[in-house]
Amino acid sequence: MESKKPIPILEVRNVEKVFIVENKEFQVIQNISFSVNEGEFVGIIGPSGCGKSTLLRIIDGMIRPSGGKVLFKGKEVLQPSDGMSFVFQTFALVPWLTVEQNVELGLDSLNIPEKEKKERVSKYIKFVGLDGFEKFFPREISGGMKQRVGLARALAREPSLLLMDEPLSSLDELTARGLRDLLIRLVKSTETPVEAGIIVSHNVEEVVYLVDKAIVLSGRPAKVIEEVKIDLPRPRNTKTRSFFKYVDRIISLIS
Amino acid sequence: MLIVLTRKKLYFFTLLATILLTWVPARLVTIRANLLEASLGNLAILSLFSLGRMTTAYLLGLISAILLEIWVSRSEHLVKYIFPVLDVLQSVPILGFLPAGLLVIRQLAPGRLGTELVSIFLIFTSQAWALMYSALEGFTTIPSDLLELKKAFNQRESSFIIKILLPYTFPFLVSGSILAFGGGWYFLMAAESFSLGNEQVNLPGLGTFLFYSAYTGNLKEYLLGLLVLLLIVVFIHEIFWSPLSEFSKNFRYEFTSGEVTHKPALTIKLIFSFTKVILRTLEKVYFFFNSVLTSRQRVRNTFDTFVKFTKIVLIFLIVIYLAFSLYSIQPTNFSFTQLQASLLIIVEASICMIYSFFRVFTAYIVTLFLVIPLGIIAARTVLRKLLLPIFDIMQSTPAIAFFPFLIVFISSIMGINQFSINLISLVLTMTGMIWYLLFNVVISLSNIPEDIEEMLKSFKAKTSTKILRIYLPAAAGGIFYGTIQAFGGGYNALVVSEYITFGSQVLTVRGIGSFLNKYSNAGNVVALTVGLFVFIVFVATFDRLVWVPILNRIKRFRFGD
Ligand SMILES: Nc1ncnc2c1ncn2[C@@H]1O[C@H](COP(=O)(O)OP(=O)(O)OP(=O)(O)O)[C@@H](O)[C@H]1O
Ligand SMILES: [Mg+2]
Repeated sequence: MESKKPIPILEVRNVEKVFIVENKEFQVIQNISFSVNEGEFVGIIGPSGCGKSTLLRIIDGMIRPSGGKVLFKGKEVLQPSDGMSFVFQTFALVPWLTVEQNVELGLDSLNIPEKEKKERVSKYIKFVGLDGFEKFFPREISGGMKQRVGLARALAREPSLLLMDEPLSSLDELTARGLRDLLIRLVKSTETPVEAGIIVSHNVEEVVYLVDKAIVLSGRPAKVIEEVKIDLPRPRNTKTRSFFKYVDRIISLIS
Repeated sequence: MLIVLTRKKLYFFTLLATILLTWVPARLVTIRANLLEASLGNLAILSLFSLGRMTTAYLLGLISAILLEIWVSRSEHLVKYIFPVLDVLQSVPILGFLPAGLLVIRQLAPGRLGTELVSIFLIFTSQAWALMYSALEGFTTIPSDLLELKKAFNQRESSFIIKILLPYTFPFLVSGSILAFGGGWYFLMAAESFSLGNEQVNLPGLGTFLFYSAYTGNLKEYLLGLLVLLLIVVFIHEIFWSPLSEFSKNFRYEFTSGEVTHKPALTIKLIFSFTKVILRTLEKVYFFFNSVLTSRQRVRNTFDTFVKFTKIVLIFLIVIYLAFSLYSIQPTNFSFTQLQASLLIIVEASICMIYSFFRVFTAYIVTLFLVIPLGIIAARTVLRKLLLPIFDIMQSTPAIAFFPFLIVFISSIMGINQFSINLISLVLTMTGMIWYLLFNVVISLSNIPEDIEEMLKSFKAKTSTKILRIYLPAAAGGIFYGTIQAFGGGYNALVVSEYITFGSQVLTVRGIGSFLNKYSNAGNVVALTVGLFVFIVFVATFDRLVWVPILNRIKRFRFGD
């Protein structure tokens, strides 16, 4: 679609991760490399427990790799930065803060005036479709709405790269389907400052529906089996033959 | 080093333990322990005496707690009513139980045995409530579907108790036991040497030894006694509570992955197999009788009637007995001046109660200021690994043993005046409250889920935001759970913190604690009863009308509901 040479916004270079548990080393991630271009939506998929979350946390800078490095906009990631935002599988909402206050927590590290903070908060609450629920507490809203809060909190930071760790896995199938298109809109449209997104998932259909490129990982230790480009026009139809071909391909790669 | 426990070995151990448990005490009673001699041999005997009382009282408390829980599990509504009652009971200072203990128990069992029983009863009153609390708390964590399962499948009572009730309660009982044992040590002195009127009771034990060496100002002996006490506390903690609490983690329902199974230490294994053998024997006896009884319906019927009959007779006898002993302590000819006097006593007790309340309240506020930062440091920083074990040991160490140092310290700075005595009393009261608050705050703060901590890291939240929006509210959630117990602990401590025997002088401040001490020394049972009554009414109304509504507001600062 784009004819220009794509610019990588993120580069993962030979990343390794070794955990030490009870004095024994065990390798979770082995020599993983890939890159994410501007405008690209990338999926990371692999068997349960293989190290997907660990990889995403390394990209964000929450944990340091044991080897290799991550470059975000050409600079090495040494700690979390304002340019990236994380969305958690378990939402990570603070139960005693309202929807509004939870979203505002995302803006804590940014040096912007109070007034602009308020504006951003309400802008992104509206964007994810939660206007009217600003004063609600997490326990008073449904699971799907909780993840919308998580998204609004991540977006309010106006990051260029959105990192999502199984954002839809804790939700029921119907709610998750409802949120898929919101995720595509976040990453692919120009309504938000987000330039690219990475989603971790173990739902193959979800990945084929959402992303431009799927990084398929093997089980322990995690290695890249293959990068699968998904060349399907959007909005994608989950019922077509070509859609199923991608699904089958990825499933056969993993198993 | 693993000992494989075969059945033979089990029986051997049981035999050995039985011999130890019966023979040693029987020997000990005949040994004439010297109350005050500071030789190591004598101290060892005194320690064994104290430990024996503590253990007996503890086992009684444990059994009562489990029985209470079983009783509660049979009717869903009961638990709502029992918590408030426990709140009040655990607040009653140990001296409040003294008249009841002395008068009733001593009449049942006179002589040395009776005094021993009174002492055990007093220790029991300083341990049992914490155990009952934790048993009930454990009960409330049983998921409701498991309770429904019991009904749906018509599960046998015994299988419900063994498979669900006790495993769910186990970790709670362990932490409750640690608290209870600590509470027992705290009041050991008060439980081993007490007086009611002319009757001065000094049982041979570490508590009495400490009391008298402090009383006579014998610093060297006091330090020696203190050292022995600390050694025992640390020893029990290391050999028993610490491995038990590690082991109990297996029973805890946790969300995190990568759980490790905690292997039981040898001591724990022995205790478990010992209990198992006892339970099995009991079961066999039960089944034997049961089979004998069920095989002959008629025998069974007579047996049932017999049991019912005995129950009624027993209750009747107890009521009569209580009435009789109450009657015997009532002044026979009740005159107007006596009525006036008891009215005055009510007024005096009420005023003392108000003084005490302000003392406990101030202690509470000061404690909070200490506990919250300490809790944050202990739960959420790298110091966690270092501080938590220290707190554990400090909690099991009776602060009361350090009172003399504290008094010397404060009075050497400020001299002895009204202010310094009040300050001393305040600090002493705090020692009875701090652990309930600290541990609950630490638990609450430790419960902050990993994802929240990761979120704060990823979004680079400022430290001030972390503290104000996350840690302080979470600490408040813990305070919710600790406050009523802390107040109870504070009220409890009053009998030792408002009436401080130090050397040959007695430092007193006005309050219900010194009130109880005063009238217990004077042997005025009526005044003691009035004081107890005023106390219970005050605590019960205050808890229900003031605390519960306030505390319910901070209840929401809790992860996971
Ligand atoms: N801090 C840590 N210390 C030790 N081991 C860890 C740590 N974090 C993760 N692990 C281990 O690394 C492995 C990969 O974990 P990770 O959570 O990254 O997997 P995942 O692919 O996201 O799994 P899931 O599909 O369950 O989300 C697991 O075996 C986990 O137990
Ligand atoms: Mg994961």
